[in-house]
Amino acid sequence: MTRAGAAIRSHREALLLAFFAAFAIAPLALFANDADVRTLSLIFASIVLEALPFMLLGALAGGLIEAFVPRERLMSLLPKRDLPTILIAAGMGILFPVCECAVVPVVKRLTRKGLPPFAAIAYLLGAPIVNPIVAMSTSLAYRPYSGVAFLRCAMGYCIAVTVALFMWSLFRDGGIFLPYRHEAGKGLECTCPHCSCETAADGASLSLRLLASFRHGSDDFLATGHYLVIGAFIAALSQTYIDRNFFSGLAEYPFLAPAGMIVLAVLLNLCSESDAFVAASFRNLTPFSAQMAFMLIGPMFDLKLLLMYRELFTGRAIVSLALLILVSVSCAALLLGG
Amino acid sequence: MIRSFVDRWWRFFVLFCWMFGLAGVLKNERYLSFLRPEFGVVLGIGAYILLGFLAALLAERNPSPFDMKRAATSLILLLPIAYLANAQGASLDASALRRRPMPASLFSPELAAGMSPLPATSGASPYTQRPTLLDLYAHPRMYSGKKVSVIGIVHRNEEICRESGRNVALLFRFLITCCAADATPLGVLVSADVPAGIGENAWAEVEGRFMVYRDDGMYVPVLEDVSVRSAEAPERPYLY
Repeated sequence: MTRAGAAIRSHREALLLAFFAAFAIAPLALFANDADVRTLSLIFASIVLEALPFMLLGALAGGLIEAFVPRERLMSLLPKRDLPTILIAAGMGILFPVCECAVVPVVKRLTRKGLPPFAAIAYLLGAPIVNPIVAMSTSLAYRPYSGVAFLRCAMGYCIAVTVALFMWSLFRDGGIFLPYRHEAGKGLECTCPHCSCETAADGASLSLRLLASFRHGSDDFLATGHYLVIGAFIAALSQTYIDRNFFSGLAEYPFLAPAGMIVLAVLLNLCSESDAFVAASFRNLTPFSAQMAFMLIGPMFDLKLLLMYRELFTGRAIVSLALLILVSVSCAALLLGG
Repeated sequence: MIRSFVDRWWRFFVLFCWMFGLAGVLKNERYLSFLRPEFGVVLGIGAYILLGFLAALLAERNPSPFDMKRAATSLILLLPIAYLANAQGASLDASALRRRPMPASLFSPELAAGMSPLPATSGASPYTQRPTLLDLYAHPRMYSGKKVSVIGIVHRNEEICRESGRNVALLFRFLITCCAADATPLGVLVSADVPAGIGENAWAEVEGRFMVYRDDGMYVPVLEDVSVRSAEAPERPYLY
């Protein structure tokens, strides 16, 4: 993209963001004391407060990876062939449990350190589901049926691997990630003396590396945080104004129930550690396959994630990823019985 | 000069506002209006990370140009703090209840007729005369048929009255797993006239006999032979 083209794109984005900011502040400015706006405030603040610390942790973890993990070290730890790397990456959430808010900045830094793109996708999709905290909360929500947690983890793992493999075949020649902004010399430039960005390899002192970690972390947070806020606001709007009972009404139509629950999961932006409890509240209202679809799609593809992916993937890659996830989850729901 | 000042400090300002916001909700446990208690530690960790980010920015010599896009993203990043201020002292109420499904059994139209009460069981479970709604849901057999006193929010709904064929109100509270966004309402039907002085969304203490009716596997929790009086909102509005 030319410099002029990039400037136009940046201005267009700025206008859209400014428009969103004006739209989002309007209810507060006009109807601050209205009961629904108070509920909106509560839910919006709740989603952001819940996700923010995890996102900060993810940004810091990404910064630590950037400053402390040399590319060669990471590459030496990975299998040489792609398929085993994907299979391992999809299950790495068991060892490094991260929720979907934290995983994006971590993956961003890992890919820069040489994690193959398709292993990165497998980790991105698998980690928020295939992890012990999510398994525990799911089994708690569905007690005494602890098999539900196992089923969720197994299906999440299979979908992460499947989508990564499809992305591998679709984007074998590249074009999956955005050019790294530090390299492109625009956006949030990394200006610390050791950053091109090989602080770890340069034998810098511990304090310098730590400082660089926090610097990278703050850059990542400032670059990605507004996507979280936008997603959280839209989710809060849907939670405040859309009647969830409408989705339970879809239970009469076997194929519509999973579709309805998928839409609900995308709109609600719930954390993967708590969404099982919301899914379980639909027991007796929707078929189990629809509840499972809800639990599978949310941690992989909800509104805030869709926006956060813009910091990582090209537009074409996001569309492909979204379609593949939707198809895989729908197939999983069909397997479970419509 | 102003330009270079803004370039130097805009990131610091945004992060400082968030740091201030987190400190504000941590003070006096205000975050309990939004999150379950265990999140205090997580928010504290977040505040310390922000502190680290601020320190790193202070040590940073090179400014980051403040352009139109960054102005817009900064504004968006600060939005939740404005909403946070507006939500202080509020908690989810009947307007949120209307759009969330209760456990399906609650609105069974068979409430009025033909259902057999769930038999009570005796056991060594933690019985108390002042259980929460969560206790009632967790140990329905233990409390079935016993006199209890429960605190909750009153909701009058014509649809419930029509379906049950009685003059009933709903006493409910929200159960939170992580945050208010995943709140699930738990409620019992109060089978009596609620005094006119206790309005919609008011906190009330209801004393009565707890019964769980069963019909085709559907459970309907009800408080019968009740007395209702207004109550102070509890320090922690949600159940965890």
